[in-house]
Amino acid sequence: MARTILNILPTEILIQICLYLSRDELKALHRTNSTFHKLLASNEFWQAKIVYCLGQEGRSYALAIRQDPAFSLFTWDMVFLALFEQWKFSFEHGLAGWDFKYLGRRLNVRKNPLSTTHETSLDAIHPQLKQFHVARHIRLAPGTYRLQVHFSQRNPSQARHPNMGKRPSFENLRFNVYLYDDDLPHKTIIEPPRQSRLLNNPEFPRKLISSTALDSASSDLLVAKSWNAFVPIQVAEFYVTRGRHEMREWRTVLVEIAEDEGGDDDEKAPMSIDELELIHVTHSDHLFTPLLLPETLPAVAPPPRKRGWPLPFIYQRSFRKTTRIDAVEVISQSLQKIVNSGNKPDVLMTDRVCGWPNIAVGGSGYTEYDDELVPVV
Amino acid sequence: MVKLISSDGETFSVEKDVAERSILIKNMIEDVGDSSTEIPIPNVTANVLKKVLEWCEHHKSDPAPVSEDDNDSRKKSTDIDEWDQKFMQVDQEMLFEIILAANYLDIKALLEVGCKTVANMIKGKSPEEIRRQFNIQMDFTPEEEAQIRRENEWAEDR
Repeated sequence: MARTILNILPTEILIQICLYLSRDELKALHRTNSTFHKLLASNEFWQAKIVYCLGQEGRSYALAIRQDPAFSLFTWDMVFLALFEQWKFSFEHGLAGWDFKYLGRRLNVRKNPLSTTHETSLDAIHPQLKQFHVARHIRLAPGTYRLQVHFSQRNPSQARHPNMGKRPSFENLRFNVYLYDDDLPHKTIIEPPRQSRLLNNPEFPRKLISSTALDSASSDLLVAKSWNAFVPIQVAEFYVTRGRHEMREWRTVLVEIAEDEGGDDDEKAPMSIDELELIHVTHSDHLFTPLLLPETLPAVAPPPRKRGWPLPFIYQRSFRKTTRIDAVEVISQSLQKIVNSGNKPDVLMTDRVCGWPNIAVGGSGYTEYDDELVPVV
Repeated sequence: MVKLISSDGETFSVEKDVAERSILIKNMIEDVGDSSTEIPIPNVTANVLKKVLEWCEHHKSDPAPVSEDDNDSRKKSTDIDEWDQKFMQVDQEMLFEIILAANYLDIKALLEVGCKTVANMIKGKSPEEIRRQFNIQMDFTPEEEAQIRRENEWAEDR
């Protein structure tokens, strides 16, 4: 057998070589031969990728090196958690990335819509507003985008909650996509705006970049499909102009879902928006959102999608000038609520938003408590 | 002077500061306490050891490597010194043997140069070009290749 790179160099040296390769080059190597495939698909590949990725950022790389003994045990999420200052969000259904804040995962349970000031302010502004969703503080390269909204509704026949509505949750929907230029208001305001403050607030000028209405025929079809299932809706394409600072430009995308003909919300089954997917049309049709990653970092492998599973939910709260004990107490309460509702908490994440602790508690299943917790903006 | 014995029995007499570019040899000299003692290098043949010592001779005055935390040179693959580039212009088997020797002798800078050289040979090439470059047999079935392409999708540039 001829002596080649594969049978001369040991794995650890091949890995060292991989550290100098870009994502595309690793991909090419991955496809050359089964030996390379096994090597790069193994844990060592992830180590190499992690080191390569972290190597782009001096401090993170140093941290990884210092933690060398445990390095082989690191998963992406662990690395990101360890480096929470950069890591912002990873979501079970595929959204994961750096500097991406995923908000508004809120089941539309309207048992007491006025129970929080947040809901009150929303209703005051948009009486027929169903939901809205914010992907804020993201980087968008100039180009044409398509935004895809995945939503679903809980089948009343399977509901545990006795007050759950029996009617479909929507009839005629309109999706409005707004783009905010984060750089402008944030120069003078320390706290990023809450969702409600973004709406119709002249302090935060927004630009309507897309509006897609669903007619009744489409709505009927979607209603039929969306019981306990994800339904993607592709919102009309929109174009993001070149920013003043290229990829360093921070933007906020707000998707407002309004109902043209309202009704009694108490009678309606809960609807939830499960994902926002930004698709860079000018590049490819892939559904994941690599555009949310800084250009210098390789994309993060999205976790496998679990269609048909119980819908996940996220509680998020931020704490202004609170003590650690306060935060822990709220986490405990949130966990207890999940348990009480018959579900199993499976995610606990913390990071910081503008210097304040931000806590997200997640789980699988239906909950009635989402509207009691205020999403962080 | 330090005497090094290659795996095939050839003796090399080199200056102590040249030999001590290798952390392995440096530690052995310290352990023995007498630099005149012959030091066996059982994993490196004479022709490879000669090349390694040539590199050590050229780099004997280099400053000590900076700590790994501060060293960002390993993040770039193109910053190979011109002399090192010429030094690494050898056939592939010798290149790999030099890398192995650098790894065994614990000469980090040489190992780094070797890895960068191989990485540069991979850079910008398609899978087929990489196979040709390193004489690697393509052993995937069409189904496996399609599967791998799917596995790679997450890393696509989009």
